[in-house]
Amino acid sequence: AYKKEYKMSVVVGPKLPWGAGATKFTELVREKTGGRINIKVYTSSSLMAGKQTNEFLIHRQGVADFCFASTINWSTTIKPLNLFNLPFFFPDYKALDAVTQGETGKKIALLLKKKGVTLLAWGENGFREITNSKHAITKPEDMKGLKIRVVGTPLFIDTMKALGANPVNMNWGDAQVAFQQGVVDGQENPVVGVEIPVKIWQFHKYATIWHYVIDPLMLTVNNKVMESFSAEDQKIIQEAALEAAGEQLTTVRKGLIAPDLSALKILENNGMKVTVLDQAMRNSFKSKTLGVYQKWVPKIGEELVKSAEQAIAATR
Amino acid sequence: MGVLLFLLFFILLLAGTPIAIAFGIPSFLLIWYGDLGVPVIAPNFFAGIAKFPLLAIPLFVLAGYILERCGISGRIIHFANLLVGRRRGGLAIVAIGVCVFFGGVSGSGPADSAAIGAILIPAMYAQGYSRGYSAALIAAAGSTAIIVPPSIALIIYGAITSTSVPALFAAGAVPGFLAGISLLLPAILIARKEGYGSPREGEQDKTSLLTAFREAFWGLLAPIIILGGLYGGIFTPTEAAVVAVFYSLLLGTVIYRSLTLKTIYTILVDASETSAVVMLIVAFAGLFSWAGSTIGILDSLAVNLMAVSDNQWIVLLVINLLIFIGGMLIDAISIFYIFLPIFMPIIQHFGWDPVWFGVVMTLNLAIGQFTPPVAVNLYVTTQLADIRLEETFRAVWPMVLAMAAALVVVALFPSLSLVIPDFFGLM
Amino acid sequence: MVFRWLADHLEELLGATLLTLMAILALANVVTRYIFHFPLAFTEEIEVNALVWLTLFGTSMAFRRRHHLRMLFFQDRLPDKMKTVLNLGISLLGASLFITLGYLGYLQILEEKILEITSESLDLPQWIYTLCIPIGCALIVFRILQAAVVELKEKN
Ligand code: NA
Ligand code: NA
Repeated sequence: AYKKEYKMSVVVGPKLPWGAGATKFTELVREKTGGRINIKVYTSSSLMAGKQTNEFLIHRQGVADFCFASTINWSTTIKPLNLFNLPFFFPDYKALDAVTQGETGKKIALLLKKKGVTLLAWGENGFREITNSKHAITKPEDMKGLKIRVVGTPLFIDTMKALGANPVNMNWGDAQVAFQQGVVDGQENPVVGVEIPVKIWQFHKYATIWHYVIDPLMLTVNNKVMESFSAEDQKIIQEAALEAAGEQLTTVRKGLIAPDLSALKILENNGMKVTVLDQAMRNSFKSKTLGVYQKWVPKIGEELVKSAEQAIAATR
Repeated sequence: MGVLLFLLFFILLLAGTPIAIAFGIPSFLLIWYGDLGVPVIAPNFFAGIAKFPLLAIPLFVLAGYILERCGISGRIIHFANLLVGRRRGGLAIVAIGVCVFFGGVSGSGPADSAAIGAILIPAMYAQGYSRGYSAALIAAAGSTAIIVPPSIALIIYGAITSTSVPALFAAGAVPGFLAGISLLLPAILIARKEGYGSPREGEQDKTSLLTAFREAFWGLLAPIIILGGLYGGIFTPTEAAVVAVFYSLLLGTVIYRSLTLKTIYTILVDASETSAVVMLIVAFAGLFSWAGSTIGILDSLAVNLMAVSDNQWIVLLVINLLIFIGGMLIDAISIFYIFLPIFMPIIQHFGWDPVWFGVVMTLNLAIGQFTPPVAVNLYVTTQLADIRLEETFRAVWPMVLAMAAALVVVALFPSLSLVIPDFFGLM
Repeated sequence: MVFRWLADHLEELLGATLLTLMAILALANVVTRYIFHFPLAFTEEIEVNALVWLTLFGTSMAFRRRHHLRMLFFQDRLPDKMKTVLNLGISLLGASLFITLGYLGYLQILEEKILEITSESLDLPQWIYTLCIPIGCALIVFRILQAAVVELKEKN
């Protein structure tokens, strides 16, 4: 027996590409199933009363039937997902695709399956780039003493501390007041996915494209819910997920891959100074974070990290 | 089903059930019956409280209690009495002014009401104002905190509608001030009629204004330190609150030497209880409205009401009535989450300015913060005044009407909201 | 003697201690931020979670001291006997609500332990924070019933 309405959780608003991707998925499913499967999107973490890190818990419990979720928000619940939070681990999109679309991606899907959730497709929020109100960041020393807002996950705190910054975990609403008042100096988010839509130049003048962490999204369904669908509908859901997430991924990468750097131009046109780090400069940052690797690789799982490293090496 | 649960809420409320429980029981039933997933209750209850901005509440309550009991409030009353005491309702004017002033510190109505009420309610009572009137006035004036920037409500509105928060903040300044002014009329009229706040005969105070000022100086400095820190971009509200706590503690222990360890312990106990009473309502009211909006009870209500007319002014009126009724029952933030997804297409349809609409909606919700039966600010002030909610009813209605008049003006003249953000080029 | 005092005032002691802790931690944050530029902001996690503990302990003491906000307008117009029965019913409803919440909190802890969920900043086991729900609810239920018994005795 199908439910009249299924619930889908998204932690951001409907207007960001991420939220729009979720809506697109529900439209495709509704259309292709002729209205048999009707999914309602609950944006802005509303199913979890605002607590983003509870998303996996309620997904597993079946409160949310579907999710379009960030690996970051689930990483306090599923430690291996911290793979994507390792600082300066993924050099570029090619490396990420090799990991999510290859063996490592399959391992992660299996892991999720065991915890009660089926991974349907990978979307993306993008590489997270730092902005601040104080000065341009070109070398690790520039991070010293900057109070940086990060999302709620300990690995981000460790990374920022390793770089000499003063990290604070707060929600986006609080962060905006803190930027306004100058009590928090900076933040890190994807350019097309978040920084342009929220007009980050209202608060910050300096942006550094340092690709320190990638933020992939997972389109998922609760195992029991998936099993309750007919084989035909399962296929439709799988296809709709791939289409919607694929389209969403293309949207957030637009303007960020040379030669089309129009997204960075938008930042500059709004008065921001944009610094793009090359691989050598990124390495100088990465060398500061070795302690983070020592602490977190065992928690993530040596094997998973190695498998990702091999996939990345193969793309070089 | 939804209607039945609302009915249950009202029955429980009217029967004299503690308000938090009156919210809790129907919300548990709604989550269970509506198949929202019972496991979600505990984490969402937890998440409703564990929010950083709410941290300012217990700290401001604590600072208020310390200031109240360290003897400084007596000195401030003395000074204020000399300054405006001869006028009937003088302290009421001071109360409104200070609340609007303090609204520039606090982003939340209950926090503003707590911070000011803790000091001024005992002072007003000492000058012969009734407790009900004092609690109503401070709750009403404290509601301006969500219109005068900074404002948690405006930030959430900005996040939901992707509207510029700095523009919203700038837009809130004039309407917030206007809302404060609107309260002067009922405040003074009632005070005159009831004879509140006039010095009793034979008690003519001979202290010079300068002496009184000198005695009150360190106390008067407290809001200036807090506000200065905030406007200077030094403190967040929570930091300002903690600075207030330790500043007032310093006053009580080093400067006035009026606080003993035992008093401090009593203050800590009372402050944690007062904060808990408020926070428990925040948690269960949050759960109630979360369940109601997730199931979509309020959605369908709104959709039906929107089909009323093609005339934008009629629709605006209907929207405002709806927000007002909603604001009588539930908190501002939940209302944003429940109603905004439905209002946004309407805003676009009529080409309304989202910044102006955000201010109108927030001003309307500010009124809801002190409109019974569900009125977060009144809960704080009645707790501080140690009275029952219904003792404020008589005094609160004129204030609701006065601020509603301010709302009409702000709704009819968008330029009142938009002039400052326009000036600073934030639009 | 001490035990006797604790039996009635446990939550008061806990609430006062927690609030002191929160204020000191918040102050330490301000001081270290402006004076030493030393990263401490991530400890805000403790303050925010302490607020939940504080809410539950404070709720418990408010039930014992009968300080919860309620609308007594209509109740005051009822005959004494009906009022007593009504209040007994309300106490039982309140107790059931907190028994349910406490039990769900207990289940939540089990879930958090199985999944090994950790906190957002300090990487502590999340269930340590959630523990306040079953503990707090047990205290609250006890105080609700205690207050109801006291009220019944006063009536007789
Ligand atoms: Na304010
Ligand atoms: Na109200």
